[in-house]
Amino acid sequence: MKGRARRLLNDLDQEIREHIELTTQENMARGMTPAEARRAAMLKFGNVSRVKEDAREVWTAVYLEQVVQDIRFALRGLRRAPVFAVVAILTLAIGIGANTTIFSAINALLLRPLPYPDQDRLVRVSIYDPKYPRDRGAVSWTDVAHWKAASDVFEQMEGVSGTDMVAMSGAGSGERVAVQHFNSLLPAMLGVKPFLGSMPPDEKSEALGFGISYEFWQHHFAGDPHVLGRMIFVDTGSGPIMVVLAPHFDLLETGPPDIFMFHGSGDPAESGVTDPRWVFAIAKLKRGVSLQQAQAAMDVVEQHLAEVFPEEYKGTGLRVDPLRQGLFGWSSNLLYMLLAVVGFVLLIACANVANLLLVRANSRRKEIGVRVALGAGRTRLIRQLLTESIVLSFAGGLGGLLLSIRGIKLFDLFSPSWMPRTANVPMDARILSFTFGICILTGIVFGVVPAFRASKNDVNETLRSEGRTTGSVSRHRTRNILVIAEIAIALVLLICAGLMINALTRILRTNPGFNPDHLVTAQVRLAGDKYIDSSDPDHLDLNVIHPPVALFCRQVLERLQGLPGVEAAAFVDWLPLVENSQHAHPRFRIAGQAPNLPGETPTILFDSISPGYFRVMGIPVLRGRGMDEQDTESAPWVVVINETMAHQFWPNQDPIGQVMTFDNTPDERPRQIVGIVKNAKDFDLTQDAMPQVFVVYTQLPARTFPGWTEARVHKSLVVRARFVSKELIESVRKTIVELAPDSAVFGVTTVEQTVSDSARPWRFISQLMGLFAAVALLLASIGIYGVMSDSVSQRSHEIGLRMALGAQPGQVLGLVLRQAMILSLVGVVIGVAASFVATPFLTEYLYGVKPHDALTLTLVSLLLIVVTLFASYVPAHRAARIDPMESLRHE
Amino acid sequence: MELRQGTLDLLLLRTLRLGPAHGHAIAKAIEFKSDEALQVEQGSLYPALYGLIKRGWISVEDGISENKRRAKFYCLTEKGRKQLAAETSKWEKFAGAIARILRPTAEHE
Repeated sequence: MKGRARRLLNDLDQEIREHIELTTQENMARGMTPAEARRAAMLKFGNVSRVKEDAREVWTAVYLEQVVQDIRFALRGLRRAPVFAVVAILTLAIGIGANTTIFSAINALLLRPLPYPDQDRLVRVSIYDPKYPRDRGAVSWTDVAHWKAASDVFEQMEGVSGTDMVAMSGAGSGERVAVQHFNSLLPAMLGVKPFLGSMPPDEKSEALGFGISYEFWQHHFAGDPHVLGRMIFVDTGSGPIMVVLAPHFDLLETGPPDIFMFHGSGDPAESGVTDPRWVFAIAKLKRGVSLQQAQAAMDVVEQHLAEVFPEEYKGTGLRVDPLRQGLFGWSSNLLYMLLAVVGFVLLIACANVANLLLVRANSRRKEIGVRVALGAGRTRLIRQLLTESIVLSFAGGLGGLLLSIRGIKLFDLFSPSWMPRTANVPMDARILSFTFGICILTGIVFGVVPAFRASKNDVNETLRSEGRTTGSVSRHRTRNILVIAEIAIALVLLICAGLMINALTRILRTNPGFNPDHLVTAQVRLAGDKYIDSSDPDHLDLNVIHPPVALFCRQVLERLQGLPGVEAAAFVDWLPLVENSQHAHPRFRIAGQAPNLPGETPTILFDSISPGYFRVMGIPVLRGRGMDEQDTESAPWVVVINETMAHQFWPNQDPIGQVMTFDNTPDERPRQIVGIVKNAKDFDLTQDAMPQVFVVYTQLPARTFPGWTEARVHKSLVVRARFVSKELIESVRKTIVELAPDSAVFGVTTVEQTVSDSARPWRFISQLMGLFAAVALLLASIGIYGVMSDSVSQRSHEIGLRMALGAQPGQVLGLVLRQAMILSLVGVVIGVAASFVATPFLTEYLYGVKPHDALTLTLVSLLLIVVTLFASYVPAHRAARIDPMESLRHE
Repeated sequence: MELRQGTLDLLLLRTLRLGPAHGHAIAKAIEFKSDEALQVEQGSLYPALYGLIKRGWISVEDGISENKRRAKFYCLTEKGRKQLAAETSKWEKFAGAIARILRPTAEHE
């Protein structure tokens, strides 16, 4: 068929010639002159090249042939206009690259199947407060044990923690490592096998041993094949390395942890009320069990448990989510918002390229006119012009794909530590087809208007005018609309970015409740048997804190205060606003009051401090006193509370003199409240302070329940200096390392930095928004520059005439700028109106800044107007310098 | 009078029923038979012929034209013959219907 088609088409030329010749002969026979006869024959036959084209189109294979031809033609055309091609492709590459980057993140977190066999049966089970049904709370090891025992819809259910930064020692110097806790059967459930060693069997005991990740094994132990059995001291306990896990095991995708601590299942018969909720429950559904069935089963389990363990489960709900949703669903709002933002950037890029194409179509009027005259059909022409724009968009898409590889790395770099890493996820079919789809769509979006306009070409008009461009009113209208749209979209993005920056500034200006100036801080995690005995020989489930901890505390203060330039030093368990803080939060009883039901005790933070802490930090003591050197082990034990604590528990009473007892150790003594201090922001600057109590480090018993051991060996040091310098920071670090060589010392920085880092999530969003808005602004100003330049060159004759009639350069300048101003103002009005729809989506990130904050709106609009005026100043200036003689003679 | 797509196909098939012919001859035949009332833009003949080849209704052979040159002769296939019969009867029904509407009285004896 194909061969026959080709042969027929090859002979078509000859056939047509023959046909016309025969007609000519007939005409001559009727008495026409040869010239007349031929002309009449041609007229009768019709448009030769179109006939050929039509004849070819009969064969479908020819269609493809045409596409190839169109593409070749497009490439030739682009080679002939390299500046146009480069600008258009770059613009598109930026737009498409941004989209592919954000989509890659969405793909990595929300779309890609998790890399576990049977991943479609994996779920996360969480506790939630029915008042906030969208939140997912952490659970305790005991919760996992309860649910595991009570429900038959799951094949398996295991607990797993997030990653904690803790100290590890054992090989000379101390080190800070990321540790993840999980039930020893978790890897088997996920289908992850140990690389070396074997997982310990499940037992009803708290700690079953240690494993390390493949990655940690490689870079820390250099892949030593005899690593199994080596003793390490991690966090608050020690033991041999039992397992090296398979490569890339990174459940939370925040980067592979270093150390794994294996837990046994808890006892389902016990109440878990003393067991803190800090892990995730992950389960595998039995085959054939649907999510709905599992949810229904868990609802029943919840009701049952609420009767048996009311203090744990009263007023809570249990939720079963698919694992991907359960682990990463929280990020979807943010990511889809960012996708919308880059979508707008791409729209602006499209408008810019459409503008360029319109200018180009204008300079190609003659070429297109000739082709129409030679028989190109309108659809054929549109198809060809669209092919050209799709070729452009694919070139841009290729560039975008390359940019996105870089972009996704940047995305990871900027994103806060709790944001899962996305750069390690390889490019896959989903990303490629997204980019492919976006290329096609983009090509059509920016190509369709110019193509239709160009094909509406009046042959006679064009050819007669010798290709001279007559100012087409409707073309200008199209271009003006495009540029107005660009300005409006850019403004919406600028407003969003402006609001975010406004919110960030407001957050950073929030009074943290202490004075961060001239303060240096360091985190130290004491590690090793010297400090902690977690062997628990008497099976009392108690850790023992050895005297070297208190000794270290005393010595480190003395040494730091001895450093030149240091005014004072102090410490607290966890400095406010420091990342990953894990305060102890024991329950307590107030003397003379009925004990709270365990489940009803609100969380309070419990920190031990050195006596000078409030003074060094500049936290004012509002009533009573702070701690002092007289508060020793043998003196009456005391406690200082913060304002929130006072208001919450003694709303109508004076708390001073009241007595509290905490339950973090069996040896705890009643403590009298001696003072109230001002609140300090703790988790981040946007949240109100939680109730908090402070005790002095000398008044702590040696034995403690394991859950609170961590806080006992972590200390945040703060040093007030006359001048903070790099040297000082370094000598602080050295001093601490010398005193505790086997422990982890980290986060040595200024307190100002710590405060600023606590706003990282907002900074992340502001930076991304700012970046995209800046790109949008740049593209929009290129757009208005292009339109004004074109308009000036179109109007050069008119302007020349005006100047010949006495218009001054300044007036001409004003004329052009006025035109730009009108475009810009219309764009701004539309943009402001559109922002009223867009900005409410940002509310949750705005920290009290109103989504229609008048100041931001005004400033950003002004900025945009100034930039667009600036962009049109160059063409306006050129207009003002037009030589009237020159431009008139040109006619 | 300009021709419609389907009509041209029908006329081509009808013309070729008399025997193989080359392009120019077909165009001439159509115009001659219709007393020049039907003006084929002769060029549109070729795409139409190719369409018929593709559907298998006509085939093409090499031959010699009256100019003593090599030319393509188009001839009706068996499939084409059947198609022509079907199309003709359809067309006659249609034409008859139109005629009855346009001249209602003429049909009465």
